[in-house]
Amino acid sequence: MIYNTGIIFSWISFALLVILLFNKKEIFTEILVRLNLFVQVFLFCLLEIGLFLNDFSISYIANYSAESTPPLYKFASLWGSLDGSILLWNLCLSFFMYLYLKSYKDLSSDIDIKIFSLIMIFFVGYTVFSSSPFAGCIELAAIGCNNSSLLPFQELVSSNIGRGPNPLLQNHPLMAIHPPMLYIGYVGMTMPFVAATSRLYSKKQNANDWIEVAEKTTYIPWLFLTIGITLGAAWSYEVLGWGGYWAWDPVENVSFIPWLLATAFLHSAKIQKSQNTLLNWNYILVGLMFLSTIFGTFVTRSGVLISVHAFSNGNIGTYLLFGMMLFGIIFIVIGSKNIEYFSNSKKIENWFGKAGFFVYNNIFLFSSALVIFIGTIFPLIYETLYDRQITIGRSYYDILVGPLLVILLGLMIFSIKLTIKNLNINKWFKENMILINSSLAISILTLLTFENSYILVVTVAVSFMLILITVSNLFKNFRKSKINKSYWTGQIAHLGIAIFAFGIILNVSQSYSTEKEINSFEEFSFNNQTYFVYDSIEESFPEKNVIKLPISNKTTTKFTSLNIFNNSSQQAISSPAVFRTFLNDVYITVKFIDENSYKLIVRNNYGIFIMWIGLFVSSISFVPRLSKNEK
Amino acid sequence: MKKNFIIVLLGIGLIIYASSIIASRNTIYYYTTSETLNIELENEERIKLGGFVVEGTIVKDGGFTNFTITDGNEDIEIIFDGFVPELFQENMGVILDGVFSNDTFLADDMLVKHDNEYVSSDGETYNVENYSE
Repeated sequence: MIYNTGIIFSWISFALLVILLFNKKEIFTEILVRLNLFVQVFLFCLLEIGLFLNDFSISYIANYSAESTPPLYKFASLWGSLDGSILLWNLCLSFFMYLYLKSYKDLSSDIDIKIFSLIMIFFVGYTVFSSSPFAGCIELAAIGCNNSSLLPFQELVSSNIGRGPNPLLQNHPLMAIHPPMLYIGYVGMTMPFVAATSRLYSKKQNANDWIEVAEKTTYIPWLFLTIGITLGAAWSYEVLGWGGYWAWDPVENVSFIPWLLATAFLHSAKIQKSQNTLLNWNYILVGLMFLSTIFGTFVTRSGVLISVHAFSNGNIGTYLLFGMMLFGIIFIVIGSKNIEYFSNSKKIENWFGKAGFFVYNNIFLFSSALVIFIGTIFPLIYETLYDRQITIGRSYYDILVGPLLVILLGLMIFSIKLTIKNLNINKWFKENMILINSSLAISILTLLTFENSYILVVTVAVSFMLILITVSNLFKNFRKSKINKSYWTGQIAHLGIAIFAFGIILNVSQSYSTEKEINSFEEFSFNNQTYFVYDSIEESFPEKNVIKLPISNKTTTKFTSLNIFNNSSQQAISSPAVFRTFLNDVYITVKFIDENSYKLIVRNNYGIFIMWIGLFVSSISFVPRLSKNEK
Repeated sequence: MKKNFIIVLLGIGLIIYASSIIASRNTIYYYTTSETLNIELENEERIKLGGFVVEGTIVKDGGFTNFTITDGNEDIEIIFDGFVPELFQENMGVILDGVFSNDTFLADDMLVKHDNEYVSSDGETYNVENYSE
């Protein structure tokens, strides 16, 4: 029932979009966009209903959900794997198409909705022709489904027990929120792309209005991307006992690349608006932002990470590469038709004014994105050329990206007082002398307290300069109504990043870890504290068994636990016990349990709480933007 | 306009060149299990060995984790003493760091390839047999 309806309605959605693409009558546009949104919402609900009814005749449900899966994770299973996540992707895309139609549409032409529908045809086409979450199961595996059909009205077989979602995804509610946040961020990048290409395609008198729309529509996805990446980092640190929050692995890198590009664009768009410069560069950034999100999906979903050779096994890789080429060509063709318009771009005259600083900002953000991109694809190219697998060490990113980010931090210091005219450096130094000196004093203090390295001292000095100058500026000028509200959005975001930078440099330079072997009712000491280990407690749930080990220091008791999931591979997932102070976390995970003896990994992680504060501050930077009097 | 364009291209070229150099100096090379048949190793020479964890071979033995990895053609038994990453599971690609002792590989460090995709226990997402060319 659900299977037939789902497949037929996927076709209907596809048909609606094709009609929308070729539709010439303006009155139908809105109806079609609404209908399409309605169908996508319906498909989403339909698969959720299937998940809750345990309809294991649907291949996706049999493979990624189980009867014993708790409701929240059943709900989240919809985006637990590729086919389902494309459904969520399409839902977001139709929602954004509707939003675009209502708020940002170019009233003189329908070309923007047509480009939008072309992009959507591409993604909905995948669920129609290649692999659908509604595909019916026609051949059973030991558990779950082995082979499925994309055509309706086939004879289906149904397993009586599902395989269940990946244990990693079942561990914490954060996992239910983190992917949709990222998807909204990714998918939202379609809006600036559509705004730029469509408005330049129809070439109007006021050609510069594309930048206004592109900037507005970038901010929303940028915000969600920020929150999504933050939640991912928090999840891997606080819930999974990985002990880390960022590993520079390809899956993380490809979410960071669009973020860097979007950040660059949010800055450079501002000077195009006020000074009519960097026109061509902004157009390129918008295109790269959109293409980088498809590239991200390509890297994570095509299997190239496992090996370039795995690439040929799946078909989504080829499909996504084709899409990247198609949209890339559209982008280049429209761009090359506007060479004349781009040549109107004014030269930048004041290299120490707003424009100049924003160019530096763009250079360093773009370079970081490029470096990360190269690091991500380097192993793939290497394997293709030399037929030998390699991975890139963490040191690559530390050497290249670290310094770039410190320079960016330095540039932000000047952002509080930038005008079109050149900055008077001498005057600026005089005004901020006290704050600069106190931040230097703080960095000398850190020299005394912490194990030091020059990168620590430099980063601490720069981040405190930024924190102090931004905070004092906030206190002095926040009430002044003359100042544009989006200025404060920028300032608060910068403040958050400065706090974050201080936390991360403490973390990178100061943390250490050790292993302890210990029995029940014994104590060990670590970092001048004694920790007492009790006996382990076992709890049973329908979907998992949890072994909890209480550990206490003088003031509190925390649990570190091993989660052992049913019907999945036997590997357990451990959750950490975190004893948190402002400056450092003592982070304990169980590595191994044997009767009453335990092998614990004990880490002393500095700066984590400070990092979270910083990311939180950056994430709430949108608040001033909400206020009405923005021009 | 043209001058700026050339400057931008040069800049991008420079970054690509510099990062490729740095990338190639920070790569972690590893042998596949078949390759180890043909290499000459000095006694106790540390190498990196990559492969896929064979289904049903993971055994916990005291503090050690024993399992077998394969590239589709050649299996090698692993005795692992170290921190087992949370992602570690059957059929997954791992890179191990350690030494050979006769035909077993004693490893104390493990890198796993992080992938969003759930690799199911019957190897649905990728197939070990298909992997080796």
